[in-house]
Amino acid sequence: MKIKKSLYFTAAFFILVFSAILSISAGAVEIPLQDVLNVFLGKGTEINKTIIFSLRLPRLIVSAFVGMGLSVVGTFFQGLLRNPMADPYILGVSSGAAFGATIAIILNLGIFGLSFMAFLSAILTVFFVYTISKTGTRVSMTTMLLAGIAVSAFISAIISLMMLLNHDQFSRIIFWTMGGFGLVTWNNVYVSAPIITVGSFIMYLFSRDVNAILTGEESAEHLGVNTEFVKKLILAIGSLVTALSVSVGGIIGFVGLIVPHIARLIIGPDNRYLVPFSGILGAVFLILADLFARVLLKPMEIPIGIITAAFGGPFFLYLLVRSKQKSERM
Amino acid sequence: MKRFKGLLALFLVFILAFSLVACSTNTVTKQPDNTKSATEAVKTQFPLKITDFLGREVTIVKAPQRIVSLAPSTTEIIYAIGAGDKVVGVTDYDNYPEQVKNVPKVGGFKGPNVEAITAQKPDIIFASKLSGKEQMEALEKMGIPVVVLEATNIDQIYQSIKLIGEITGNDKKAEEVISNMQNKIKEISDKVKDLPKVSTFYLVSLDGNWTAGKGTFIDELINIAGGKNVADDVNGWAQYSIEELVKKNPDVIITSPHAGNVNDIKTMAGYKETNAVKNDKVFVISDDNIINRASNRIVLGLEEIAKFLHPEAFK
Repeated sequence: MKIKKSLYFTAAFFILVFSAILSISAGAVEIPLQDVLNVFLGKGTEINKTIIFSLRLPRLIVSAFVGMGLSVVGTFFQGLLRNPMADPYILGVSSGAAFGATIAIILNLGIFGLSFMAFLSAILTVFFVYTISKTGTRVSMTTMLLAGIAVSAFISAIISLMMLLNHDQFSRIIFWTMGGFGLVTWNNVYVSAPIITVGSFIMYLFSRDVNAILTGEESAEHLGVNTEFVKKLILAIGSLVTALSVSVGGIIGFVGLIVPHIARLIIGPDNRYLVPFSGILGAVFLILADLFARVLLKPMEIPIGIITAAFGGPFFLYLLVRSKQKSERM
Repeated sequence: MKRFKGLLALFLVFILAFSLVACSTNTVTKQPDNTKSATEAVKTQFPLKITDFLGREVTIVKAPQRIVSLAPSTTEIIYAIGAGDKVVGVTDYDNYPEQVKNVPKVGGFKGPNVEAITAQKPDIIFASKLSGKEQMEALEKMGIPVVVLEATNIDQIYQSIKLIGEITGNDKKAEEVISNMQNKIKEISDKVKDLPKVSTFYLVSLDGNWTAGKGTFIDELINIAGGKNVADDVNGWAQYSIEELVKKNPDVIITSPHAGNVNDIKTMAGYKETNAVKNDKVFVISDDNIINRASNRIVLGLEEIAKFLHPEAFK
């Protein structure tokens, strides 16, 4: 069993490296492989250098980290809430971020202002959901889930109203919510990569505890797990990572929902293996999705949310059907 | 404050009265002209049969006196050819000319409001393709003729103006507006035609990097103004790849007041590397409406763009 798992990890790692190389060498502008190599060897034309170092590389890194972050958070939230429908956005991060982004777009705050407002408003929304779901020092996961849905619905209504009143900005808001890494720069890398990495690592330290929580909060307590602490910590860090991801790439759907399930189908439900595996798969998934977004209709770009849903949905269905047949045969 | 309002109202009434007087004096002094236009009006005989932009034949029984316009561009044209006093309903988008602000609004973001339109008792409706098919059919069933106008290039703007002129009986003024436009366009294209084409990128909105590709007014204007739209390899409005932009390396970038912060553009990776930013050739158009609306004001947009691209020709 151990050998099989390490085999899966090695394979996933190679696929990651391969998709990164693919993503660096393909894009709207065709650069032959020889020239790509030249750029990395310090030769090559100015244009190619700019395209690869200032545009493709930061984009690749950010999409990989966002993919990893969303998948790791999705895995933990599904475990913590013991709900297969859970994803990183379930506590209101996405609608909160969209709210902040809408305000920033209407007030014309510029690119940085947009990211910042999206981040801030996402964090505030989750904090609000958390505060209403808290009774004393305990948080009820079910209440939080429901509160998240209710708050999301309310905020969506306000966003729709704001779009109605500012219809000239309508399409900008809509397309922001569909996500995209078109304007990612090195600054985004410097902020998001370390925070997502550290955040994911801290959460990973608690994967054993989440394993225990999966069997029920009470039995986890008996096993000596401080469930309240673990829950709060993972909710806080998970929301931070999600808010950061959304502020960089927009609301990219499906990754945090489907990648954890795919990973679980392959490697099983033990979070100690599932979390890193799902992180790697998430990175691969978003790298490839961003590649498709860039090249499918080049030189036009497609919002990445369209790609993740269009490819992720059917693929996930295929896996579901297959695993159903498998269990029927058994 | 109240007194000020009263004064303002008085002032407006005064202006209104004055303009009425001005109109009537016009008719008095231009008596011979009037007979001439009367004979011309005979040319526009009612019932009038016209073909609109959807290729539908529309019959207009009598000369329209109450016009509803469901597109800002159409409204601008109606005012430009001197039929503005007959406009009784416009949309929330309408903001030009100044007088239109006092006209009742009968439609907006969610499309035209059939009830509000019928309440204005129009005898003609100028619609656009965005006006909502069901609503227009409902209005037609009530016997109100609906004419759909949808110009997507400058030649079609001429057609729109001609058609509106014909329907409102202001053919002569319409011809005048058209020839003014043609003269302006000729004047500009004469100035720039022997100058080298300037490669130009038009940024609609920075987040998402939206641009205007082939088939947009902006593309057409850039071409007439002596430029080449680097994004003419995409159709219509599109999110353009920054990589491709770096490779095309435009000499001029034009953007609109709503597109985003100009400083963001100048410091953005990719944009930073273009000739346009390096040589400080990033320009902001004064008003989106003069380059997006299919009205006679589009020549103003053309002039601005031409001055951005070839300042030397306009000294």
